[in-house]
Amino acid sequence: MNRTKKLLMGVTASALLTGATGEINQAARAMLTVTQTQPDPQVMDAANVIRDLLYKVSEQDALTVNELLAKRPQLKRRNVEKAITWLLDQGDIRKTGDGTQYKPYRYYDRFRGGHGG
Amino acid sequence: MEHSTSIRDLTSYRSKREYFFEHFGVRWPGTLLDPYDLLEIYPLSTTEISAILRAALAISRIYERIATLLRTVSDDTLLQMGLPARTLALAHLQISGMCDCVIGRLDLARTADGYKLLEFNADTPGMVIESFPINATVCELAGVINPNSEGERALTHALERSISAGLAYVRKKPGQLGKVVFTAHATCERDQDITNYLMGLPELPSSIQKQFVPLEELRADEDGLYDSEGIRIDVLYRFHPLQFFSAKIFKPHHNKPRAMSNGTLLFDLISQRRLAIVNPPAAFLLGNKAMQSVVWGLFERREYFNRNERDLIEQYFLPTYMDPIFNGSYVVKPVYGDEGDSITIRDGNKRVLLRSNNSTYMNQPMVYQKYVELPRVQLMTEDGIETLQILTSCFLINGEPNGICLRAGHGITNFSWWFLPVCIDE
Repeated sequence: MNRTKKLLMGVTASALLTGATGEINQAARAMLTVTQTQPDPQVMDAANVIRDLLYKVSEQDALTVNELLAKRPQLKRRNVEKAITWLLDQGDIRKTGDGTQYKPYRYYDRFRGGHGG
Repeated sequence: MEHSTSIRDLTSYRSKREYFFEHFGVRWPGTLLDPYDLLEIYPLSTTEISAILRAALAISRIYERIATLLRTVSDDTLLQMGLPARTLALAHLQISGMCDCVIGRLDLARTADGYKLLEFNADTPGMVIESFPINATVCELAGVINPNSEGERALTHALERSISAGLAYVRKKPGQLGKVVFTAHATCERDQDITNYLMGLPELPSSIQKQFVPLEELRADEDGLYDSEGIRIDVLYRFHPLQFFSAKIFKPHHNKPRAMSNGTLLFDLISQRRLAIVNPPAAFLLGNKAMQSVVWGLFERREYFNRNERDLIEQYFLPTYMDPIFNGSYVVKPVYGDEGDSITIRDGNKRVLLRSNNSTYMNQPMVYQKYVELPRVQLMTEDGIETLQILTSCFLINGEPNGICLRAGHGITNFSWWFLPVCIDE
């Protein structure tokens, strides 16, 4: 119950202490600057290649990192892994599997489902 | 095929689906991919429709109340709820005159105790095409009454009002030239169908230009957001979740130095009143599933909500927490998931009963919600009669319930479920 309790304490404490405000917290702005660094150009290049490779690839045909690398051996594994993380953050691709040897992560295009909830 | 269906029935069913697809499918090429995406029209009694609308209205009122409270919470609390750091500041923003959620959709389960909220798709709700133009066309063709007939008018009014509020927010005076852009990913035809449909609805003053621009074509600098020809955009309707707006989503404008390399660009443009977006940023907070644990937690502690509101919460919300504390079955879902991605259903001993194939959002904070069984109904499909589970949804347009949508399928709801057009049972 710890996370639930902590969240509720935060909600009620803020309501009591701060009152409604539309002002933007400066700490949040600072955090944005730190966390949103743009990937380096090599990673961006890898992301573009992967996006093309996965274009219209369905869940049934989803590809592992190894399969992506086999199709584009010139890419470095490290860049591919970073690019995949970035593409997931952008909402460009989806992931299946649990990362185990038997069900490795596989990646595919989200074109069919779209971006709506 | 669970029951023997006569070949004649099946042939007739398929012919009807094929006829519809052949004559109307082309209108929504990204939405109807094959003739069998739709099932046979499903009649709903007026009592049932009233129950859905009543539930949606009550839930909407509770969300309005909790949104007021959540606007006051600290960033630390928002981070606990799983808001990405880059969206924190946006979560506090409100655009005057614009509803916190202009177009949203509630997903509901019909249980023995009435309708219960599963989740609120407040940021970028799908199923718009199916629920409004497709449902209207199906009903018209069948000569039955469409329960969503007022939806298009409500959408139009909501968009006109939100665009007007957006223009005022960026300090446009009446009669001044302005630009409203509707955007979605160029590669996502389904998203484009929704965006283009919505773009066609509002009638804007002649001084205001509206246009579809693919997300990939948008340009930006510190002064504004621009279309591919460099014309400044005042209001952006985006069918793209706020969580995915980040660094490098926009092209640079005139090779100016980009402030967006650190990802704050969208936030800066909105907070400096250089851009307004629809749905507004507040919708992103409303769509967070941890909101439901806050509602339920405050209900249990008898805090914040009055007696009447607590009755509504008890009636329409499900016990939801940030911890797995259930004795019976429960659902584990990410705070910002979609399309049934990264969802697990577990029994009271935490054994997995069902798990979605996708694991895109497994790194997000999870909420734990009491599991309720969706009702099962026998329906004809292209493979014969099947027993399918039914998920009920209701749109909230400017906070008011308008537009019922049913989906049918097996297991965890995702895009592969059939859409079930609805009519009023006379």
